[in-house]
Amino acid sequence: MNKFWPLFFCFWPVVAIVVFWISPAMNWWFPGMAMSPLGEQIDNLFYMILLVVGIVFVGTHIALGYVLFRGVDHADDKKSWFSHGSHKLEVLWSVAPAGILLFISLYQLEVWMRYRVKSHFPDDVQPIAEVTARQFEWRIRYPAPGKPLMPTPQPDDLYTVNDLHVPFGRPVLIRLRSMDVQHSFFVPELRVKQDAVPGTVIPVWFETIDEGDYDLTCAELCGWGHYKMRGRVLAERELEYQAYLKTLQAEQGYDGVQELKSTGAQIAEYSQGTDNKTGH
Amino acid sequence: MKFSDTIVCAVALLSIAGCSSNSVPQFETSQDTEKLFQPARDAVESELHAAFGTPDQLVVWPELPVDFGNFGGSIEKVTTQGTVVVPLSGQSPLATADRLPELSGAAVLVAPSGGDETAEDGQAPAEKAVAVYRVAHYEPESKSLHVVGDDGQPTQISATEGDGIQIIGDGLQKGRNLYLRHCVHCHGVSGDGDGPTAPYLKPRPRDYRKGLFKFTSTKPGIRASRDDLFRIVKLGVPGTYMPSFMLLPDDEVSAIVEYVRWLSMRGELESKLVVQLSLDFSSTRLEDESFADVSAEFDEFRGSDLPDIVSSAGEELSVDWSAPEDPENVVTPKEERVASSEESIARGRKLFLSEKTKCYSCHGETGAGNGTATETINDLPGQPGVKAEEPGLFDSWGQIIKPRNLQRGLFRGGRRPVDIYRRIHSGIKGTPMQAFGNNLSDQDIWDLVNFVLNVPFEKKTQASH
Amino acid sequence: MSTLSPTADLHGHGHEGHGHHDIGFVRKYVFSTDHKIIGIQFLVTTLLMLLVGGALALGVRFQLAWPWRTVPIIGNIVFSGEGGSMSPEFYTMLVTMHASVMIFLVIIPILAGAFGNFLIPLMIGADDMAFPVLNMLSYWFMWPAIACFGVSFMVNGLNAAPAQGWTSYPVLSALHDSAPGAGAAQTWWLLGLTFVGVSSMMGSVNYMTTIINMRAPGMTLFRMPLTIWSMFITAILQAFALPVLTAAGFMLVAERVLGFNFFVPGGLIVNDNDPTIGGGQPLLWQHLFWFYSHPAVYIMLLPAMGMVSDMLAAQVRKPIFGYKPMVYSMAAIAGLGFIVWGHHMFTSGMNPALGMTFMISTMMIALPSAVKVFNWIGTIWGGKVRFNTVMLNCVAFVSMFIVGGLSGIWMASVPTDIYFHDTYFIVAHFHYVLFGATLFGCFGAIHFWYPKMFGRKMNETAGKLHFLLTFIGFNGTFFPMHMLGIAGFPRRYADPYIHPYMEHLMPMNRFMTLCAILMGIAQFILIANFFISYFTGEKAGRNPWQANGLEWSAPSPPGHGNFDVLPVVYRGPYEYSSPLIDDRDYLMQTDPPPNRTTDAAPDQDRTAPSAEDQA
Repeated sequence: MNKFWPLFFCFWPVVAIVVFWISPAMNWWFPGMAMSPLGEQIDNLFYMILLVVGIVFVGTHIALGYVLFRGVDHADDKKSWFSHGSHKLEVLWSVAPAGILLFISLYQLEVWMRYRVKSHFPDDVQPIAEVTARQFEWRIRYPAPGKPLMPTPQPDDLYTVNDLHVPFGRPVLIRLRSMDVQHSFFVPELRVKQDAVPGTVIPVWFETIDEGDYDLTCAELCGWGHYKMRGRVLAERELEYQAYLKTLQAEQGYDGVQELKSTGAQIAEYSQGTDNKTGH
Repeated sequence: MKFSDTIVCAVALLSIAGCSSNSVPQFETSQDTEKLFQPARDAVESELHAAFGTPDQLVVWPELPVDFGNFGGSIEKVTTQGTVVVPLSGQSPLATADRLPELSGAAVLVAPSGGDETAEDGQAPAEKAVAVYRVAHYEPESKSLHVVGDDGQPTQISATEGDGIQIIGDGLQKGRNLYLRHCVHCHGVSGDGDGPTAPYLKPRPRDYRKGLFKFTSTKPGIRASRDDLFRIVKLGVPGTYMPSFMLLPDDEVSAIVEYVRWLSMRGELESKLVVQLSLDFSSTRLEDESFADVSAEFDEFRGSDLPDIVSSAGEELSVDWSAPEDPENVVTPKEERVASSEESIARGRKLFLSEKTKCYSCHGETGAGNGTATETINDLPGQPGVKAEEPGLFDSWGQIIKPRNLQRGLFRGGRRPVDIYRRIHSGIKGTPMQAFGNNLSDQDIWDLVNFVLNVPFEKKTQASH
Repeated sequence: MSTLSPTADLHGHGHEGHGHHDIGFVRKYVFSTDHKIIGIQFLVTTLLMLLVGGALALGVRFQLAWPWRTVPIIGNIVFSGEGGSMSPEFYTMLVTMHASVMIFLVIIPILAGAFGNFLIPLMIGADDMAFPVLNMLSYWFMWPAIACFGVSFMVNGLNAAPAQGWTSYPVLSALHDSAPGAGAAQTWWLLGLTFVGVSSMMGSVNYMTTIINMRAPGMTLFRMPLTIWSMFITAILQAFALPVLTAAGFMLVAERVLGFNFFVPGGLIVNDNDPTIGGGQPLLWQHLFWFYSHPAVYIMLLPAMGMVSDMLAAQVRKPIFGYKPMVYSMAAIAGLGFIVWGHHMFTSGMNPALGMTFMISTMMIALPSAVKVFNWIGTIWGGKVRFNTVMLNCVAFVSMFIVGGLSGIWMASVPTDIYFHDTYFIVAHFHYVLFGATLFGCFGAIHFWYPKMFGRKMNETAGKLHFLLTFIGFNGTFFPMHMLGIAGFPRRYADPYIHPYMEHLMPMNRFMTLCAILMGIAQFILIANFFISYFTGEKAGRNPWQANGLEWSAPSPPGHGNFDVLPVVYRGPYEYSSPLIDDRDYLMQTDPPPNRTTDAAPDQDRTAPSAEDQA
């Protein structure tokens, strides 16, 4: 029973490491590989920090376990080791972590600047849509096909909701706004997040590596429907993207006479892409 | 006092406290029903229960034009073991193939062939003798269907080749589950627009029980169509707290739409019954007469007249809710839209400000929604001559309503030209926005549409925001 | 310089001390100005609030495990029409009030109010705080705060209680119509916050003055126990940071009630109202709020760090490894704590250049925390360890603090924070530091100083059982949150599973809820232990732990005026296993320098330091 507690305090870190180790296989992990180049860099940074943190976690817990076990051995001693510390050790364990932290700081500066500093945005990136968050949905405004997105609404702009189509393989930029309270544009699979601040327009750029349907959720408490703001970013080929915009334009100009397609079918056509039973 | 004892006591107390029975949502009766004399109230509740059930025990009333997600087919072969071979196919978007294995216990209707139509919208054929069984088991590969009797006992199915089979699906249950997850906290269990969140929302969530929906494509006096409701759920209502459920799969949205229609029919049945019963059996009668007398009269009424009232109400519902699906009842412009030119917009503005339409009296001269009607006492919608108690405009649900501020460019019923056309042509049901279709030609309406769509882009002469 | 109270009382007979005059029950126990009574009042009140905050958390966990099912106990009362399932705004209220109660009514008051009050005069050799009446007021200002929070639950009904997050960001919290809970309830919440702030400010002024002015003779700054250092540094943090929160709170109240426009820009349309007139900036609130709330997290950590240092040294019978580095580290944490607040705002849209500066300072602040962890391990190194309840809780502190601190690195690094912000990774991080570290530290402190407070020891078996169940429940609940965060599971979601990428995470949430329920039940063991030991616990003498601090030379419990003999301090607080004496492994601060030719009994008459006095 003497060794029970040291064992206990060694046991739980082992469990923690095992759980962490099996998490990717159990799908308790990132929702897939990062589907954007900056996202990949974020993942690389994550794993680099994981390595450092893992070593420190294991190291400190081995040390803790060791001193606890030895503490049991010393239990019958009359006195403990009378030490007030060690100057050498203090220097060592101040400088070494400082170095590691400095390294991590410098390593990630560039990624941060690429994300957020306008002068570091890709040269060719153009705004393709304005995304306005409101309680509790994402309202999207595209320019008419072939036209640039203007800061103010134009008569021929196209509108949709919760469904952002982007061409993949090139950087795109959206203008993020809010109609009421704070929201946050979060696309986990692309590793993109930016708060939508009322009263401001914030440019958010990203590039999708491959076609796909990426979940869009809100990441800033905006009221009771915060969880309901389910949207998607659909990355598709340039041609399909242009076709989508044309379909949207036709739909938006529908005067009831041209074709008598049921509205349900029309919406189905442009909201779901091809056949789709899960909405995904 | 030992600690082990303390711990045991504590855990016991907590487990008792923590266990409460799982309760289920309940339909509520409307305020008008509450005003009836008690036995009449009970009768209304029991009729509703018989026709619609409770949220966790739904009753399928086949007469209603609701898509229950039925499957149907024609018997190919009757085997000697008492099963039939019948290729079943879904008869609506709700009857998807993956639901076939889950149908055990579902009702099976066998309609003898020869002259009848197995209706394709889920309605059981009404006229011929229909035998009712329950599904025991269906094998999709061999297409063989085993049944038991309606009472659950084993039985031989009596049918011949060519007879029609209807299996009542569980589409309504699916709709109910989705509704309880996504809709109930605003729209309420009974669809009365009074869920826990409702008091904090402007405008309030729709109360389905009148069978009225604002943004429809159907003619005045016709109910909303499935397409209309599908559109609202998919696209939301911009400018309100009705969000867009764009990413729900189509079959789920259809299921929700069916359930909403079903709730609406339930609400309508309740109000039809209440209207009839409150003629003679409201609780104010007890002020003059004794309970026993009224009771006796009611018992007789209940036996002789009430069933007829219920069945004719059912027929009305059936007609009312099938009508919107008829393309004849959808408002379709006869002429294509006039191009949005400056001349068209100018004509539209002239119409907007004219005495013929008086749009400006509600929407204001600049379209800001601040017309004079917002400050005067007006008639209640649908009740000409009956004045409201306070100034302003009211909708049929008793809520104050603001005319649309056209400068915002946010159109609740949709921003397509045809949507705006329909608002002008047929009005907005349940609101003071009237139908102008009889007074204006298509050309006029298109001019107005062009004007309305252009209002947000006019140069602002007055400070609006 | 230290001041001796001229009226130092010389009796030490527990609570029933014969005062100068009989002051009656109410003045003695209810509106007491005695720091010990006030400390105990804070302790009992915060333990009660701990149960309230815990219950709110269980509501949150229930919804995440069984979304939209009937809520136990209250579901049928509050939501009977819907079959007992909670509404989404109720859920956001639960997360808001859980955090508000835990932060403002539990952790901050238990550290500064309960332990700070009780321990500071005792550990520095004073007979009471510098301002006893102010001290009493600081306790009694907690009750209006509790009342305001309570009213906020009821003023518009439970469905409209504050639900804008404990961070209360405008615009959501500024406009009355933006959410059901943003009505009158939010104003009451802000008033409650103001009262807590006033209470904390009073305490902070008191502690700083007492520590600077009222130390016993011989108690130089670097002979103070680390508990006192931590309380002192925390008090400075409070003094500088709190006014900013209070000002921000007043600004938000002015916005809501008087129509000012500090935070709300123009042109916003909420709930079908007319567009706002505006002119304000939502980010302003975030800066002001986090300017306080980041130092607040160090306010919620440093006292526990100090107390754990003291408890650890006593349980391993060794001096603290690196006393001065420990002091400097705490000062560095506090100082740096003022310049890191922007790391809560990396995705907020603030200037990215600011983001870089905050990133650097946040990385730097990891360093003193790391130094402290190494020093704690160094303290245990070579010690003879007593594995009692106090020790277990302290080791848990160190271990959980390592996890919490390390997870912070991902958040200091801005690109990874972009992903983790507002996900459960953050929730995991702060629960590991606030619960895993601070609260376990408090549990240890309760067991350690209980004999001094009440003259009896708590039950050791119950203490270990409480520790075991809490530790297991805690890790089962909060460790998986790291995975949830990596999976992109956002915070404050009433039904995350409508998003396809999170559907598969419900079983994990169920597991976490079951662990949370275990953890909740385990707290009743502590409560029972606390109250039952008061009556039937083993009686404790002055120094049941053979510890060195000044408080252990006073009677248990100390009478009014604390010390029966005026304390004089000869050495630092961690001279365990000193080679200067042979027959004991501890040497109290108040023991005169041992003379090897005579017996060194602890109760010798001591009036002035002798010429042989050694530090």
